[in-house]
Amino acid sequence: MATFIAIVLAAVLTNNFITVKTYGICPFLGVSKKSSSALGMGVAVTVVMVLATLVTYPIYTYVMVPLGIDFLEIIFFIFIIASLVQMLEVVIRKISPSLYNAMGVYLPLITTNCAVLGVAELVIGDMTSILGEGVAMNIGWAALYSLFAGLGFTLVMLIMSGMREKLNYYKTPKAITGFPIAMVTACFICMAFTVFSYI
Amino acid sequence: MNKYKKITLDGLIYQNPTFMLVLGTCPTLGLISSAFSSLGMGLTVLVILTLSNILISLLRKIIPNEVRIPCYIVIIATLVTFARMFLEKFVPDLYESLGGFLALIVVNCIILGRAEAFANKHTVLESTVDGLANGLGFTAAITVMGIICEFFGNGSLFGFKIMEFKMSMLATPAGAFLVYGICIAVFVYIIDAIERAKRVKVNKLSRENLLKEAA
Amino acid sequence: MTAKDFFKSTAFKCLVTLLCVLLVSGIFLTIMHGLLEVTDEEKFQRFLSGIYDKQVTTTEQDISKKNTNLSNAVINNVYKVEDDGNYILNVSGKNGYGGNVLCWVVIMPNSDGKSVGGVGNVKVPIADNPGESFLNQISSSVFDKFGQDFKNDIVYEYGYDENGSNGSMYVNTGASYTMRGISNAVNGAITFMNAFLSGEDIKEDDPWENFAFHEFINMEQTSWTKADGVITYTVTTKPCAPADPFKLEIKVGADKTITDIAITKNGSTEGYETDMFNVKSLVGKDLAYFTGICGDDMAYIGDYSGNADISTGATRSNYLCMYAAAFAIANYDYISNLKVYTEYINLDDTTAQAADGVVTYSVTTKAFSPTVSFKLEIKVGADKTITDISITKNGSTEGYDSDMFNVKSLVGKDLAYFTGICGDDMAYIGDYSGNADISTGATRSNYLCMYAAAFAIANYDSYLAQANGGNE
Repeated sequence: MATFIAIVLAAVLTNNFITVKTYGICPFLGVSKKSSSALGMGVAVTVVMVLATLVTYPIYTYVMVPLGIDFLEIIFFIFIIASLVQMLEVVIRKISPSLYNAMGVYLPLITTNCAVLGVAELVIGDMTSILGEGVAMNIGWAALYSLFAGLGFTLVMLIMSGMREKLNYYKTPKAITGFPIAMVTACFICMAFTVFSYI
Repeated sequence: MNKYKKITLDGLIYQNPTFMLVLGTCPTLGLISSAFSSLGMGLTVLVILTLSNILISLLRKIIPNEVRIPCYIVIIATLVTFARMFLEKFVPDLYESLGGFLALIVVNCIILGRAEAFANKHTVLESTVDGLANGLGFTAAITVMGIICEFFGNGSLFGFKIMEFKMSMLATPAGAFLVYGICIAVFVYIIDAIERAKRVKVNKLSRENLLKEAA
Repeated sequence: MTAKDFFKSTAFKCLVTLLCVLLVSGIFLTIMHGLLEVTDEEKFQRFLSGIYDKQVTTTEQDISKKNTNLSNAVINNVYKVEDDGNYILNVSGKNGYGGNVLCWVVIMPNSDGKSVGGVGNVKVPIADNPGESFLNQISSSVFDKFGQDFKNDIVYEYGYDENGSNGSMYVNTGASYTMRGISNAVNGAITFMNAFLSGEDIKEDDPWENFAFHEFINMEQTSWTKADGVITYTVTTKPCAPADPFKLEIKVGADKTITDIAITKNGSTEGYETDMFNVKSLVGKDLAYFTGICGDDMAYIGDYSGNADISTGATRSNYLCMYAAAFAIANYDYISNLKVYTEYINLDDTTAQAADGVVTYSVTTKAFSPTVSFKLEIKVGADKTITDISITKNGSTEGYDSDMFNVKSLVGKDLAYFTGICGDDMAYIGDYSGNADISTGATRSNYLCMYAAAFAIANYDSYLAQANGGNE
């Protein structure tokens, strides 16, 4: 239970992907103009992150490491993620067109979202500082970590999109319209999240 | 020659990947707290980008359109893995300071973006110039921001202590966002001002010419 | 679709291209991996070049014969730098923030080469310590302090303790837990090197260090009882391969000879039991008999052929029995004076006088937060009951003293009364709600008084013996 709480806290708050690790910034800045699209992107990223971890972690641990080809991890991971995203897109389009309209349009963007590759690389690394000593990493914890990292990502996306929707009501000088003002907004969100690093 | 000049200027200034297109943001924001790692990241991306542009433009006639994205990704991933091995062997300090962002160069949108938007439609020479220009544009931008962040956030430059005064906030992701945002705004403002000045000059010239003809 | 069509189709072309790209990448990277792999040897050389400007030669030292798993650190490798005679240790310091902290420590030996003369560079590679996320908070000047602060006998305090009140200079590093691991590593390295250079064994904190001849005794499974000047031991020895551990019942009388001895579990290799001496032959022997056979340190020397008492054909079994007997005799004095129930007693502030079979104690207890220490006058009579007890300083939290039991009610009670309430080990269990004698509303205060009383009764014999010994 302690490990569970530690993972949830770390993934969502103290090691939030956007505000602390600065992973997944492209969609964070690009798809956060509206709350609905931010939510769609967040959910899509979360789903892909969990699936990617569920596939890459066992392949790395049980195939690549025993074969001594762990130095090929980047190629394998990015290939797995790319095919996974492609498959997911096909499947969703087949099963539920409405879901595809809500979420599927964000899927092609996800391949180049570093949050997904980032989480796959993170969970095969040393996680002792999050899990606590004596807790062995396994696929369950890995999936849990990526699930909550994705939810943390979604949370920050939602906060950001809410603020940007409000910002639309104000007129800003041309030079700071768009990305600059979005970055300054993000700066304040990050500062707010700094508080959690004291947990 | 004009063609290459345009490619170079586009990569460095008018289409600067960091300030104008806002691509490759993750490593930028993650690493600009230190000028050394920013410069290192910039140069690594410069090399990988140029190599991937060359390779992809060489292979552009061979790779079928349907599988081009997976092929590009594999090529880039190979280059990144190679870069990782190379740095670990010969520049271990940089390897350590870049940390996880080294692997994430694979998904750096600049590289895939240039492959998709430029290298698969242009000759090898053009692609090389484009890769170098964009890489330099990225390196320059990230290094400038790295210097700003490290100087004010830590009171040092490239690891050398310069002053005691520091605003630690600028060395955190929050400060990185702030500096990045301000830098974009300043960059856009300057480009705008130059363009406007140019336009005014052109207008003035044409008006004078008209006046001359009329006279 | 025929096979021919398939081979001409785009799908096939795509597949081949993709596979080719993958294959070429894989082969290229495998070759590169072989060429560029960073070996541990190379990592080590990198660390060395951070200390020495020039290339140095090192030789790895054989540490397999030493205990490398210390209480505060694990020694992984030891290298000697041939150029200047220093040693470089790869140490994992225990109790960092995320587990062990891997450190490189340079140890400079004294000019005689027999002990540690100084600490040089201390390096903690970030790449090898991913669990120590605050490692970069520690400035390099802190690492230099290890060398500056070195005194002959180790112990750098790491600045973190449970109360957060340690005035060490290593406190404000921003990463106290990591610093604790690093200090442990440096301390461990010094401890180890002192032992390594001098060729002695590592002197670790040994809870049994006051016991003589306990090297072959399994102290965890050894117990004793005292009664009327006779100590009855239940001794479990360690194995002396191929002989397994022995269990013996040994009685030692006041004249420090064996009054009775019996083997309760024979560890002899099968078939060798019959070759052993008769253990009863040891009855009546004193310590000098055993040291005469085995030497003053009772160490196992293997060849006892000169002595018929021990070399009966099962030398190792005989040796273990003799060792146990020597242990029992040699510790007679120590054990008869050994105090029990001392956990909550401030022994420095506790005195006892014996007169006419009555021991009068002035006991000072330790504080038991929020209760502060008590002072009590306790008299224990020859029947080992409390004959008088009074509190001279009440440590109860204000307002709670009135909730305490009347301490005079303990008069006439014996040890069994107290152990009946608090258990045989008199440990504080917190919830005494089942017992009205102690849970009067000021349980902790009552507990301390009962503990002091139990201490007084249980140590009656040893204080009496001490007082008599002093008179002689």
